[in-house]
Amino acid sequence: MERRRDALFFWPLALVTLVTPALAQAPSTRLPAPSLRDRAELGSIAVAQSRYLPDTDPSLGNSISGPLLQELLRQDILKQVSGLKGYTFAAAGETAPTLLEVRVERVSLAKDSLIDDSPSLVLRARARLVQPAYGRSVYDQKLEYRSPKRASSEWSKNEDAMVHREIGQGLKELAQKAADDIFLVYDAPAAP
Amino acid sequence: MTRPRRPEHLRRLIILAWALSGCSVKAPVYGLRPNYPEARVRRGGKEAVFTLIDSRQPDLGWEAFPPRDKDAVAVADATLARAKWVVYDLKLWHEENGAPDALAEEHSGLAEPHYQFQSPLDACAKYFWTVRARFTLDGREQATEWGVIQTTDRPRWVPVVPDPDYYRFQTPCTGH
Repeated sequence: MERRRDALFFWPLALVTLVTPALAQAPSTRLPAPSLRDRAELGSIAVAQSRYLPDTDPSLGNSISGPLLQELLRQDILKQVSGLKGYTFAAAGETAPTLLEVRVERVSLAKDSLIDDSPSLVLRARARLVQPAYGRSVYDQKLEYRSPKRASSEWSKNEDAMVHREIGQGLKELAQKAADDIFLVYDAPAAP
Repeated sequence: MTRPRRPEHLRRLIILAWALSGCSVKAPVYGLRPNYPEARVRRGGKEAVFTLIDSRQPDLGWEAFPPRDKDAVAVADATLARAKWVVYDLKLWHEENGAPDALAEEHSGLAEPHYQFQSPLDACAKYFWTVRARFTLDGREQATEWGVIQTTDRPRWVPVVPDPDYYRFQTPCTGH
């Protein structure tokens, strides 16, 4: 009788041991980035300047200039792509068959919950690769930078110094992610 | 009439609950698989674990590129057999509130699929890390994705940087 009770106790444990690894292999909720298999067709690429005015959280005040933000992001993109082997980038003012536009769409201080007093600075951006002559978009991906959480009071100290520092860091991270995903990341050939 | 078994059952339930909450398994990953420390998850793959390492100057190791097939004979993706000039890039972040905080170290162009830190990391500290391979394929510079743990926790419709699913470990509280 005692042995039977032991068996009744241990079978859930055995089940957990067998099932947990299988659950860990469950499909991820991560969406794959858009595929850019034939990068050879891109030709010369111009890094476009975005005129889009980002939506800015009112709590951040008026210290953020939309056009400056877009220009800083463009400069960061140019730094990331300079020296990339296998691509041709058009000089400033030159036209090219492919346009790369990376723009900031929203700047905000985001909290995890209503009672959370330590928001993160969030920059939402969008990276697009378009070929106007063909009227097509060959790549379109949204990206997000999320800073470490800081107490609300920290963000407004010293004339928003922390906000400006995190924006600078965020733009660099977004530029690197966009440039990596578009030009560097290897896409395995599709299975036959 | 009495129920003498109750305390025993309670004790066993506590053991079962402890086992359910604590057991971790090797995690599925995107990118180069970490060899040391391993990437692990628990709660059915929802929660990535900060693997406790045995030294504050760990020798982080990961799968060599290009990845080999199961028998470690052939390169798994035939196209990658043409990859040349393979190097690895490594990034390490401090952890705060369960997410990557400030970048602690960054090493580019590592020739071998491992790296031993030159100075001790903080004791009792949690870190995020990731690695990628960079290589030349048919004259064009390419790279693998930065390695991340494939959790099943939350939908990730938009890629986030720095990625909260990077590999992770915790340093020991004593020793070097």
